[in-house]
Amino acid sequence: MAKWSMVIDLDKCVACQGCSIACRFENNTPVVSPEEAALGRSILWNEVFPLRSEGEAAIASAQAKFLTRPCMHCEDPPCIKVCPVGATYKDDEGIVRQNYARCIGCRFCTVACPYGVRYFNWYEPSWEEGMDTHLNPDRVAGRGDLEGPAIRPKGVVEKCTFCIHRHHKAIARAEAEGREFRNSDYTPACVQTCTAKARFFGDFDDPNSTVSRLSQSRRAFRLLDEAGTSPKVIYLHEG
Amino acid sequence: MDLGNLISSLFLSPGPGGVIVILVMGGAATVYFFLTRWIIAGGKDEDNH
Amino acid sequence: MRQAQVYHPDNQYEEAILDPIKPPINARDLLLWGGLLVVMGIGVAAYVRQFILGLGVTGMNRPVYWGVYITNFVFFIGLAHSGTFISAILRLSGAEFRKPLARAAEALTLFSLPFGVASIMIDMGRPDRVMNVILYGRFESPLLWDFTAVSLYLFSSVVFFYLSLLPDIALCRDRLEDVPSWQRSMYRILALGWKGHPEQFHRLERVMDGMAIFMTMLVVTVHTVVSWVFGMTIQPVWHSALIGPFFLLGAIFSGTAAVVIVLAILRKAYHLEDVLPVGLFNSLRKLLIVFSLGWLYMMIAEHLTLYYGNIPEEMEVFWQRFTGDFSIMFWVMTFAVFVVPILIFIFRGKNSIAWMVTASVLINIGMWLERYVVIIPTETRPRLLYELVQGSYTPTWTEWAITASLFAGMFLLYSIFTRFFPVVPLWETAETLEPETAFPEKRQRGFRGARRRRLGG
Ligand code: SF4
Ligand code: SF4
Repeated sequence: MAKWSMVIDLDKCVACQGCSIACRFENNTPVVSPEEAALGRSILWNEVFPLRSEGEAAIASAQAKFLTRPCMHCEDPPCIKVCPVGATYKDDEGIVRQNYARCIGCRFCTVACPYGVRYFNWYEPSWEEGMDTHLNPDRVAGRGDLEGPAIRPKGVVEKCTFCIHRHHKAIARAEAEGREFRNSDYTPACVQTCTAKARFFGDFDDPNSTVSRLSQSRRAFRLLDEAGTSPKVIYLHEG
Repeated sequence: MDLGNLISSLFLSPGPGGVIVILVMGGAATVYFFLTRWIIAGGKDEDNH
Repeated sequence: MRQAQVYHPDNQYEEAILDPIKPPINARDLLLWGGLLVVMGIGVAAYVRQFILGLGVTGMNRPVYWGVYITNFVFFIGLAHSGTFISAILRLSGAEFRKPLARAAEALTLFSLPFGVASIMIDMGRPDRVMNVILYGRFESPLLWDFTAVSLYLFSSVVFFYLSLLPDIALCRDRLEDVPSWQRSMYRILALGWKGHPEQFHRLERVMDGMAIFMTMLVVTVHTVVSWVFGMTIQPVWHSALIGPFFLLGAIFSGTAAVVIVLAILRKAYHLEDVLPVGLFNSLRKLLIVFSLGWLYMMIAEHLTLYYGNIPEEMEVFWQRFTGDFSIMFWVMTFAVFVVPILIFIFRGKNSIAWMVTASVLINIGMWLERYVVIIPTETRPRLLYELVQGSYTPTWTEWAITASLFAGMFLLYSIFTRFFPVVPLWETAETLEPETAFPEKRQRGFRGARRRRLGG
């Protein structure tokens, strides 16, 4: 059983926000008006944040720092602990998933997640003319759940799923081609699109995978490691 | 599956939580019902003599 | 002669207590109820709009995912602690002064709890899926603890309240002959054939004592569990062991202050000056002084620990409260909950109902603000995002309209209740529960004065 994990090399990241956009189209993230966005209601499963630079030297060197942030797919996720109905859950391969069909919209998980990666549908999702006819038709099969890129109803929480539907598709394709599923068959959209090739994805349990090897780098760190969430997204420091 | 796992899964998996709520409320309803009946029944026997 | 068929305790104030129930519904009632219904109507309209459009009509956003609704939830549950505190905890400690005000306080519990529950429903993104909590309930979630504790508390309060009301309903059934027939049938059904037999009173007292212990445990559990919804997350400042005791103390504090307000209104509106003497307010004043000091203690304990510890993410929230976006609220809260009321209590409160009410109103406004200031600032500076995104929150009219309608609903239920049931427990304040005469109908009024017992000592 794989343990999916992502490594993001901040040294390579150019903050182009390609991952954000790729994610948006892959996962049918609703678009909000500028007024709503100003209120802080935009939905970006993978958000790129400018970091505050401190000190005269940082300002003089005009070196902006950025942090791109998907869901950490924590091994010990606080969001799952607090969900009263099990609408968010960790599957066998360690991916923290979200079932739109069961979520009651209490927003406990959004409050509990220390990384702020969970987004709420304040209104019925909507797209601009033209965009609404080009939504990703991929769906996550199974148990009648509403997951992944499926159009969510208003009043539920959504979040990054490591493109879980791509995982399912990859397995189905391997099956159709009559071969074993290989870990390299499955790549989330942000990893695939990354302009600077700063993102790596793979099986953390496989000692030879890129992610395992990179996680041993001296530059490797995890966000809020002290929060005890054991994130499966590993960052590599700049420099 | 050992006992500890079973018990913790009762708390972690979706489903049993609702049963606990129903048991607590149902238990309370039963207790209160009989208490009320007991109070009202006070002194009945004497009256009948 | 044998014992009478139906016996009612002999209460010198029976006339005064039953008076508010006697007259038929009049224009004044209808005006009050109508007014409250209009306020509720606006809230209902606002809610329907929110239900159709989505929670976007509120001011909530990311990262401030919880706002006024959750504040209301905590506040109403806090108000609800008044009744249980006064009727259960004071019952256990044998404080006699509680008797005349026990019911007024319990009614407050009963009528504020449903609005606490409603607040949660209003806050949900998918209220239509509330049954999922039963179908897929996960007991690991503090929300389930809440769900269990609050439902059990609501249910137990109804029973506790009803049991203590039983003898008085029976009394209404037998004494109130002029009321409309539907009202009489209501009393008849609700009285469950109560006869007032000494054994019944005896058993009632025993059950009430037993339940008082249980209710005391529940009251502590409920508000602690409410606070754990916040405390169990690892968000800065929420995640503290103090949050439980602090919420509990605040709850009993605001609840007791609310009892003062309610008592003063009842006293005026229903001319219960003799039944609810100033002495009662003096007893409550002492309790409130203790609670204000307890509040100060908690406040200092919390903030000094934060300040001294100087943990960066906690300091963000700390400064949000003291000098940041919430500083005005924070300082208004401090003055309204503590500074002004304690001065009033010490220098003006004695024997003055007007001053007591002023202080109590301030305390309740302040406690609402306190809930707000405990909940929101943390959300504006969550653990990771405080350096990335800083949140802010301005409630919209929808939230205020719904809040107003919740309060209106509470007043409405309360005022309707007091028009149909005696708001001072007749049997508990009676001189004695023992039947002395064979025919209670022919009580000898002349003897009463001699047995008069001072109330509210
Ligand atoms: S980052 Fe947040 S949403 Fe993702 S698994 Fe961890 S706690 Fe849950
Ligand atoms: S908002 Fe949905 S996913 Fe989040 S805790 Fe509530 S029910 Fe669970």
